[in-house]
Amino acid sequence: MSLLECKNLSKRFGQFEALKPTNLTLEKGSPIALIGPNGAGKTTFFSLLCNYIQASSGEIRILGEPIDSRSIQGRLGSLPQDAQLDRELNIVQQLSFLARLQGFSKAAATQEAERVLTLVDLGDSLTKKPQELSHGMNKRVLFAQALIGNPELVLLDEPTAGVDPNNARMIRNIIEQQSQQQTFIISSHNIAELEKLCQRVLYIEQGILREHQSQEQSTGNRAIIELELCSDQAQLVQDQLHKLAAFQSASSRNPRQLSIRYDAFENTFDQKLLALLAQQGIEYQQLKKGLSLEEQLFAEKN
Amino acid sequence: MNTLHAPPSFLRACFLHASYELKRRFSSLKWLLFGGSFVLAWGLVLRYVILASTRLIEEGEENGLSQLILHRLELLQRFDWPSYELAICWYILELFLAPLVMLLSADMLIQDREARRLRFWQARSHRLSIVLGRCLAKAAILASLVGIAVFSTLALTLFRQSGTVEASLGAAIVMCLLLFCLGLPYIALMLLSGLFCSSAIRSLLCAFIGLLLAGWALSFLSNFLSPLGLLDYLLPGTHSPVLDQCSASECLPAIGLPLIQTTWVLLLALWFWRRQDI
Repeated sequence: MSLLECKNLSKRFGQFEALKPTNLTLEKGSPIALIGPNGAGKTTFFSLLCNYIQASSGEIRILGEPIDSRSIQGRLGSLPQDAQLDRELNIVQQLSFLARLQGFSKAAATQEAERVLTLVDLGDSLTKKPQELSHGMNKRVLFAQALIGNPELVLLDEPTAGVDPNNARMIRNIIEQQSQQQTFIISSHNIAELEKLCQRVLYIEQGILREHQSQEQSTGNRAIIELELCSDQAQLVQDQLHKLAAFQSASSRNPRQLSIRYDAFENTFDQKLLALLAQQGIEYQQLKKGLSLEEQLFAEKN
Repeated sequence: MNTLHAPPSFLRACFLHASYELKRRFSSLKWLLFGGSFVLAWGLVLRYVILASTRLIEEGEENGLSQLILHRLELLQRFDWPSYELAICWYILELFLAPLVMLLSADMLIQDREARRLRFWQARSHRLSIVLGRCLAKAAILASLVGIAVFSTLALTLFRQSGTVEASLGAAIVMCLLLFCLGLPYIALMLLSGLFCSSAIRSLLCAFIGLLLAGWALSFLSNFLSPLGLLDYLLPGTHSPVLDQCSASECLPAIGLPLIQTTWVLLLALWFWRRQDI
């Protein structure tokens, strides 16, 4: 049974085609990133998956069931972007209500609300109302509600937007822990963050959604190293690189960064490169094998 | 590990939404003030309108005011009301029921939709259960307000011993039921109007204007095709003429019309709601 299956799915707003006809099948497993520029159709796709908006054509099945099926309830959790909690009731009352809608008894619902709030480190703020919490804490409450009942699929739309680095890290840690049992689909602008969390990537641009293949799989016999130097010595390093046997080419985007391509069969290229840098007395800040996700997407686009 | 529970039945979900709505409404200062204002205002109506008018009529003074009241309360001659107090209460509530119900139902879903809160609930329950739960909650508030108004008048009647207990109690219960049913179409109307508006005030204006236009349009069209005039009865607020011509207990069959009005407006609202993006 697939986690998610879209057949000829599309969405129009008047004349504007926000999502072009899409066929997609995803299986359960590691977190999945949904990436794309502003206005690309991420939130539209997300809203379709959550049944917030109606598709113009096509069909979506989640965990083998149509999205409006009763049997989906409780198996799909979501964090909608910009949704706000009610100001009149405290957070545990609101989350208990959500748990009750998922079929928990009154006592079990309160326990479940307390569990998920404790998970996001809000165990001591249970009786606070949303307006008494900071933006980051409210975001954590919203994240917590998506985890009620440990749904099999959790859709998160910009889970760390507007959140400080500590809270963002906490959310990432929870996703990492929970992803052993649950599959997350995370929509975000923050590619660096998604790269840390997600092994699978969906890329959407101008309403066209496609699965992104990582460069490691697609470049065949060519490997890449990204080198970041402590000072403006990229040109100097580039001049020395021909001394390394497996070296193919290098390009520099700024005086401190180099992208070095070499034969993939040469497993010790990185060690030889480090030795070369030491020999020349060049200090480096970071050496990374493979392209970052951002660079891969940029490279694909061009 | 997924801790999947069987989701509640549709009806159970409706009741959960209704009870949550009541809980949060009565947790808010705005609604507590609304309730308090209603009780205070009704207390003033009881003291300075119902009681004062009753005394004037009872004293039988031939002054202009009592004549005016009697004229306005022609129903007293036709209705077999057990007391003047209940008759005047009926007259006042029938007059102010529509604006009261429209006001309390003005924000049925609007704020929650604008704050995207509906998304939390829609992920866990059927869309229709959300709105039906809301309607149930509003109906419960309507029943409470009508109950407070009618039974406080009944208490006044019994305190002044101006009517028999049995007859007054019977009339009060029938009055409550009638007024409750007369208020229901306005709840459905506000639900429908709220689906297309982004604020409670706009929703109120939209409902008022919609009712006026629909009334005028039907009246105009009935000049060309007279049976169309009957459609006027489908508009919320159109009473059966029976209501003004018979005693309280005889009016009971007239609840059919507001129930029909409620049903069709509600069905129309649900049809739009099912297709609306949230």
